[in-house]
Amino acid sequence: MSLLDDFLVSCQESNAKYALVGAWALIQITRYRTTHDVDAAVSKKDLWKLKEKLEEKGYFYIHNPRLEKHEFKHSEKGDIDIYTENIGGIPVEQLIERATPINFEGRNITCISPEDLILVKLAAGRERDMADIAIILYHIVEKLDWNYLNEEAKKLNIKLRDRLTNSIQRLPINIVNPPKAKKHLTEKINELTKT
Amino acid sequence: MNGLDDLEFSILFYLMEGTRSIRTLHSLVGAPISTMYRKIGELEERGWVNVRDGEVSLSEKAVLLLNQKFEVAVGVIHVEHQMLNRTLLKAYQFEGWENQIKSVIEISESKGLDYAVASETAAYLYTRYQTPSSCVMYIREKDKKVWTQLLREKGYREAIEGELADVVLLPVRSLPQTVNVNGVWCVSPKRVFLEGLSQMGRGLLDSLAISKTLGEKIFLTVPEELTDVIA
Repeated sequence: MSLLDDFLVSCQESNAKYALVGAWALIQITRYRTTHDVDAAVSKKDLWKLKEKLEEKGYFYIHNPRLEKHEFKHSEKGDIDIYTENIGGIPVEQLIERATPINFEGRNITCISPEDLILVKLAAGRERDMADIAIILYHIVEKLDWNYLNEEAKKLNIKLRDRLTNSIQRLPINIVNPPKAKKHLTEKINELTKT
Repeated sequence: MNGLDDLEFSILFYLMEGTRSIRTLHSLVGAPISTMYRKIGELEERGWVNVRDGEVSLSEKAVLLLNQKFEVAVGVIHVEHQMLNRTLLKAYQFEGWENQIKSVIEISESKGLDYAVASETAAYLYTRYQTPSSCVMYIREKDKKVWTQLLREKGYREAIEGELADVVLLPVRSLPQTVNVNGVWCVSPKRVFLEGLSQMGRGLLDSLAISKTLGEKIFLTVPEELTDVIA
C-alpha cells in the first residue's frame, strides 16, 4: 500500500478527522504536481488513536516541536507529517471544518479548502508555494470564496492583493496564452481583494 | 514578440535604481511616450516588470536575473525568446508525462523526426526532483505540422484556455544541442538551468536542483531580497 493509502486506512480505522494539505490538496484542483509524502491536519483528540494504527503499519513516530508537527516515518515509503495545532496560523479545527471531500482514483479523500490552501501557502511563502497559488488562481479564481479569503488574510496580516499578484508571475509554461491569463488574473485579483 | 531590445534594456537599467513612473522613464530613456507604454506593456507581459498605478518596478524574475553573471542573464534572455512561440496540446485521456514521452519517442523513431526534450521534463530526467506536469520539447519549425498531426493521431488535441497542456511544442529553426538521458534526447543541463530561470516558480526550483546536481559548473546567485522565497 502507498503512503497515502496507509494514512487513509489508519484514519478510517481510528475514526480520525483529517484534511490533507500540500500537494495532495492541490489534486482537488489539478494534477499539476505529484508527491509521495503526505501532509495532513488532524484533530488533536484523534492523534493518539491514529498513531497506534500507523505504528502497526511499520511507521515510527517523531515529535518535532520546533515545526509543531508529528512525523511518522517509514523506512521504505517516506514520511507522513501531521499538524494538530495550526498550519500557517490557521487553527487545524477550522481547516478540518472547511475541508472538502473529493474522489481521487477511486479513493474518498478530504482536502483543506482551496481558500485555506492559498492562505497556508501564502503563509509559507516559498517559491513552490507561490507557483501552486498561481495554478489555483488560474483554474478557479472566480469560484473562490473571496469574503473568506479577505477576512482570513486580514487576521493573518497577509497583504493578499500584493502576494497574489506576485504569485501569478509563476504561472507555468504549459498554460494557453500566458499574457492574457496574467492580465485576466491581475484584473480579477484587483477586483476581488480588499486593499 | 522578440528578445529584449536596446530600449527595453534601458528601461530595466533605470529600474535597477528603484521604482519609476512611466513619465520619469520616458524622460530618462528619451523615447516617445506611446513607445514607452508599449514597451513597458511588453516587459510586463513577459514578467520582467510590475506596473501598479503608473509606477513601474522590476519583477522578482528581473531582480533575480540582473544579479546573475552576465553569461547567465544573457543566456536566459536567449532561451526565453526561443520559448515564446509554443504549440500546446492536451491529451484526450490523462495518462501522465511518461506516456507523453513514449508517444514522442515512437513518433521520432518511426518517422525520423528529431526533438529535444526541455524545461521541466528534461529537469526531471536529470534530477528526479519535481515530477513534470507536461512534456516540453523543441522541434524543428519545418516539422511542426507533421508533429502536430502525428500527435493528434495519438490522441492529442489543441489545448484551450483554462487548461494545462500535456505536450508543449517549441518550434525553433535549429534544435539545441542534446544529450541522451536514459533513451530520451534532452537539452543540456546548462540550458535546462537557463530555461528554469526564465520561468520562475517550479522552473526556478528545477534550476536550483540542476545546479546542485552539477556542482560548481553552474551556480545561481540569490539576491538578498529573494532569499525568503528561494530558501
